[in-house]
Amino acid sequence: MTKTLLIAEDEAGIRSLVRMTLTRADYEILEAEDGPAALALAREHRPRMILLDVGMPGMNGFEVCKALKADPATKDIVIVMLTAMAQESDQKRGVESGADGYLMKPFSPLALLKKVDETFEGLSADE
Amino acid sequence: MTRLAKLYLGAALVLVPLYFLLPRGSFVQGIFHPALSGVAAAIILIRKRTNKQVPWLVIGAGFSVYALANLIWFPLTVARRVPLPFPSIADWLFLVAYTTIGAGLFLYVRSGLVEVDRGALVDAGVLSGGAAILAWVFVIQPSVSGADSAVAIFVALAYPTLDLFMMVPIIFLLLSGIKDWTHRLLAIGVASALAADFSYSIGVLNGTYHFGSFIDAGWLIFFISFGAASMLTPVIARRSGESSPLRGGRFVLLAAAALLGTTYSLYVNLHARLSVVVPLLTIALICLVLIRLRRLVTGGEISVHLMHSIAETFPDAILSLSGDGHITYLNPGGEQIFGYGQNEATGMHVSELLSDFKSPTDLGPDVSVERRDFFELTGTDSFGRNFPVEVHISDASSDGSVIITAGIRGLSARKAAEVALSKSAALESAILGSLSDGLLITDLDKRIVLVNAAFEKLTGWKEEELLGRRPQDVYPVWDDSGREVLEEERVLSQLVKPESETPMSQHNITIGHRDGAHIAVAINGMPILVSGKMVGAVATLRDLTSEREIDQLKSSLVSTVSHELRTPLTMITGLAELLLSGTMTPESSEEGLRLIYSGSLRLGRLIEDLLSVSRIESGSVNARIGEVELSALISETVSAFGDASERIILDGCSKLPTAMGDADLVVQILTNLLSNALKYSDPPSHIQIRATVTDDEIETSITDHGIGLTPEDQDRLFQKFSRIDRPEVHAAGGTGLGLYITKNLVESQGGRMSVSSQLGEGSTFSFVLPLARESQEALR
Repeated sequence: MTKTLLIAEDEAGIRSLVRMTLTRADYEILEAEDGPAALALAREHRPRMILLDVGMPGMNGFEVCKALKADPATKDIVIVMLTAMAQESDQKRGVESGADGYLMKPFSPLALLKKVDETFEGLSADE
Repeated sequence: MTRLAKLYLGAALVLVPLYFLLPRGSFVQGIFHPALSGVAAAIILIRKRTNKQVPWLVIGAGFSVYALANLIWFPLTVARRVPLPFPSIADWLFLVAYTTIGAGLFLYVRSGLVEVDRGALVDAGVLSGGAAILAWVFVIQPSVSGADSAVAIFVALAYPTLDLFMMVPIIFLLLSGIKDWTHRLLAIGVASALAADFSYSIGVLNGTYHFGSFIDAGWLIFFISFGAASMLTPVIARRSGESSPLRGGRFVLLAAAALLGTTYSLYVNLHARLSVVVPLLTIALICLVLIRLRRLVTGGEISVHLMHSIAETFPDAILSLSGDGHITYLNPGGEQIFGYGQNEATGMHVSELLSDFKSPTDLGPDVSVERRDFFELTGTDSFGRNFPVEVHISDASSDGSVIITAGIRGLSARKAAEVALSKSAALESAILGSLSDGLLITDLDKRIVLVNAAFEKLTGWKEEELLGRRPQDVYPVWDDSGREVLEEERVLSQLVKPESETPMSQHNITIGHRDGAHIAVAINGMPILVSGKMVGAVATLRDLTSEREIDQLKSSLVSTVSHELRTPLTMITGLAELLLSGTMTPESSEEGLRLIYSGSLRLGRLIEDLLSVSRIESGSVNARIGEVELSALISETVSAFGDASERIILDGCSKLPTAMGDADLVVQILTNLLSNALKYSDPPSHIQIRATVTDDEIETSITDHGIGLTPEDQDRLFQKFSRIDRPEVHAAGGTGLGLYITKNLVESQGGRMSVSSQLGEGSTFSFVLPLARESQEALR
């Protein structure tokens, strides 16, 4: 099973951090720097998991999440929202848009790795 | 006196001494009498007048007869060398002439008066009668006692009697207090004729009169005076029927005429041949004086006198009016209030002073029977200024025949009240005007009765457009959820309900401005109760626009700061955690360290930006203005960009004149603008720095060939936290504070900032600083 994961984030530094954290664990990392690119890559490569930044240009993370969950072909992708915004309204919007998890910046890369590992293990068990 | 009258009077009076220089009893002397009396008759008859024509025609007719008599008498006297037998045809003509002239004088006096001054008329009669008695007792009676012809005695007595008949109107005119040259000349004429006729009567009866004696001068002056008098325009005021006051010298004169002369004449009569005429005349005179005294004793005259004194000292205005509304008296208080002198005001119509007081009869039919206390009228002074007056009518008659006295109440208390009222209005206006919240007052019918300036600004409607209208007919209202509020749900509708007696708690609504904008307001309301009875409602509307903007700004600040803080913090802490775990390859470790460094710099910039904003907001940007060498500062800033500086081209930036500014701030400005230019344009496109010098300024422009800006973007570019929602802008990161800070730093040095841009083609940011004085002088 390919362990493909999409990181959608407009900040290059954060993308680098995620890439450096996960490549060591043999995850295949796809990168998108705005909402539309994220949607296109998700539909094309159907990654098992997406780390989706909320504040992105073009389409924000909530809109991308909503679109993917509404599409039967992509609705099973595990989506974890990444956000720098600490307001409750953001978490509420994340839940409403169908996200599976929520990760607040700054996050621990080791905790992220653990969460990703668990997610993929869970997915494998399901299969 | 007119010039023509003076000329005639002067020329004619010269003839009087000439008359006596002529040979006595000569024909030329004889011609003087018919000539001068004929000229007087002609002047009187041909005088051009549009009114008072009849009395003068009668007087003129009298003089014509007089001239005819003179024409008969003098030439015959001259021819016969002795006077004509007495009485002759001429004497009868003279008597007719005197009667006619006297009648004319009575008509003249009567024509000028609406009401007769009865007091003056009685006094004139008493004085004339007194004079007649004295003349009889001392002059005529001794003379006629020796005469043998009854006809002669009758004619001789008729002369002075008719003179006295002429005296009555003349004395009356003089007693009326009307100072006029017409009356004076008439009085002189009558007095002269009187003296001449008395002397002539005695002379004729005694046979001592001779033609050409000095007695003749009296007749000549009589002709001349009447001729001159007729040439003037007499002033006969329209006097009221009130008796003129009996006081001072006049009373003494009347008493003397009535008592001394008559008492003595009675005494003489008792010892001489009794005449019926003298006792009768004496009794008549005493009766007349008693009538006058009765008025004095019963208070009539005293009250008039007293009223006059009161009126003269009363501070308010007192007017006497004739029946048709003409002013016959104005007291000094009235002169002060209306600005007219008594003489100016006399004869004016009351409506000129009290514009809505047309005539006494306008006060209504009941005014004569019912005392009408006060009328609120408008006064007009001699400058045309209007002011409120309260008119008090003391006595009036609707038929217009009785005088009216209108007292205008003192304005001082009223003025004080008005001043207090205007002060109160000014205070109210100032208070309402100073309120920053909109204020609206309506009546029970929800019609607007008052709004303040803030309300006008809030709605875009002027007070004069709002008064009398209902708010729901003027502007729409929406609730917090955007639903339009129905009329009955509106605050004012709720407040003016009978059960509403308490303030309504504040709630937020949105109202429609006249220009279509929606304004969020917080509204408070309260019913207005007067003596427990509801009369309307008051509402205050607080504009929430700036509060909402502040909320929005706060939200942007939290969001931006949160994002801008957490992103580099995530990089720093995350990569440090990875490095510490010891699992990273040397290559990854190096990249990780580089990212930590870059994140740290970014945090540092954020902190610096926030501190700058804080300084700008608190007004504590202390620009240390001095002379700055812009060429050096540009080079220094550019070189600090390291490799990126290779993209920067300088145009006209060397050897620039000295500018005025703060070197540190100029470097910060250049750094911000160059960072933006590099951030939003891709290599290898160039960034150009160009400096342009004018007479007193230097403009520095930074041009890139990057993403460019839309006109809307340019409008809000310099606002706080203004970020453009475009992928390339998001990708470049930033707080949206850089240009806000830059613009404020430029302005803190007395400069200004501008931008010009084309979407997709690039932007030019320019800032202007003033040149140092010596640079300006060098340039000149």
